[in-house]
Amino acid sequence: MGTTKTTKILRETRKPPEKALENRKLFTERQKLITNSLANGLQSIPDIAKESGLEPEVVTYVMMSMRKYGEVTEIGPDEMNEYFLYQLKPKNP
Amino acid sequence: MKKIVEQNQAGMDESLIDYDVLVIGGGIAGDEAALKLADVGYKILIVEKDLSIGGRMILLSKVFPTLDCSACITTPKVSETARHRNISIFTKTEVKSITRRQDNFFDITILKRTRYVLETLCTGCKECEDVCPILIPDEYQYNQVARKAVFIPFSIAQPRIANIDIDNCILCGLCEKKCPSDAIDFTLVDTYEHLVVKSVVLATGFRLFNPTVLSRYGYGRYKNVMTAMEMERQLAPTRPYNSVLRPKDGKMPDNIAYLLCVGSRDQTVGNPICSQICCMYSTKQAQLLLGALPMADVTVYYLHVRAFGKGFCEFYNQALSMGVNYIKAKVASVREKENGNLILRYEDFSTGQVEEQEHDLVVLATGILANAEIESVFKGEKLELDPYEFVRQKDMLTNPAITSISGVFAAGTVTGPMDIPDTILSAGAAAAEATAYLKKLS
Repeated sequence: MGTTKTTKILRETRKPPEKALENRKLFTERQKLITNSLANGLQSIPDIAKESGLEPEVVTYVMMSMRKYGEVTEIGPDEMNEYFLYQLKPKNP
Repeated sequence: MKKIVEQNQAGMDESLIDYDVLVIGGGIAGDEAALKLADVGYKILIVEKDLSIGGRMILLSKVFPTLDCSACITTPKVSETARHRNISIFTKTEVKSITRRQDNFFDITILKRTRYVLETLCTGCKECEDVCPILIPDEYQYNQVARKAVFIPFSIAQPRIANIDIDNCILCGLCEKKCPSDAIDFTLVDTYEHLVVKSVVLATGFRLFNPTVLSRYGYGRYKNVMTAMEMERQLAPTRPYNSVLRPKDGKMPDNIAYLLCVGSRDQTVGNPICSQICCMYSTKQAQLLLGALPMADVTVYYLHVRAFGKGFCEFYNQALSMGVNYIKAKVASVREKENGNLILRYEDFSTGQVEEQEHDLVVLATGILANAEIESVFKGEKLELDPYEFVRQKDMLTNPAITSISGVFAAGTVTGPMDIPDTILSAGAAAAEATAYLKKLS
């Protein structure tokens, strides 16, 4: 544990794919926009889309991925019982 | 590799044999055939190109007509397969060629693709996954949510071993640094191996129809048009979202449409046959949706409801009594409104009128297609296919598991569309035929 020996060996013959680097940048930007939006309190997907300027389907995909990895959690449906409300999950100390 | 050294009565040199039977495909058909053959003492190798055995069934929510949990049925079966002392499993491995030898055995070439993870060391702890910074669409959730570049495909994967998606890996080294058992090794490479087996069972399954071909239904263009397999994941306990939601905006749908026979019984897309399972899986999903979303309306647009199996008709009647609306109709097109709702234009067969109806989610019940790739691995002998490119059965009434090649048997949907019980029966038939063949060989 603790070394990156074989990663370095592969890096000598293989460069990280450009597309993967771009995707990472894009995903991180979107994640940041959603996090900023959720920092203001409980939000639904359309609320976040409106505030962040992201397409709603992008918010659905990125936020559900954040939920999968424990960064976001759902609280319950809104008053109209149409959309779930989400909040940031407190980080483990 | 350990060789079987017993002498054969027919004078064949059995010391050459690596395995008695090669089973190609580790889905439910391949696993069942392997278990049956292993139970009578034969040494079996399952070669699976995916990262886990269990095939599509392990990804389903529930099964029809019993509504039993699919994972609860599949998990014990794949565990039994993985633990059986007579069964070896190679995942992320493809069969590249099969050639009959003069002694009637088969020479097999396989390509083992590396996971960049030492399989004997990985404990499946997922610590590598926690630190990986890359998020890309998760194919095991039908791209509805992301996964990491280093990942375990799903929680009940068998084997539960991490895999590195090297095409999306930025070689940051965080996973290697974090791994507590030093299992990650980027110097590993793909390897070819050669084996000798006595017999082969084909269990390579099916493909699902790609509905982007039928642009009139808007799949791929309208986010709220999804496939039944995508809905299957939303209904499973290990679903991508927190509930059943519209992919476009996360709304809980309350008026859902199912379109049956998408890419099946349709000569225009080259698939004139019935897929056998779409009517019933749609009926199953409709019932599950009414359970998950009690206020929702579900409408099924169908050409014919084919409820032919044991308990199927009762299952259909149960859906009707729960309030699922069935409309005998041909849907001509789907168009999207600004709010993401979808307008279906269809001919209602009961009135002969062209009607339009608004829904907030449309599910396409896509058909089953043949997975004909296996044909090309046979060298020197021809694996015959039927007109729909499924493996041709020598006699589908009397010898359904026998193919055009002696010693090669077919299990499950490699021979045509069928449901899970029929797949299990077919796998049993393939195992019985293979046993008879092996007995004759010795």
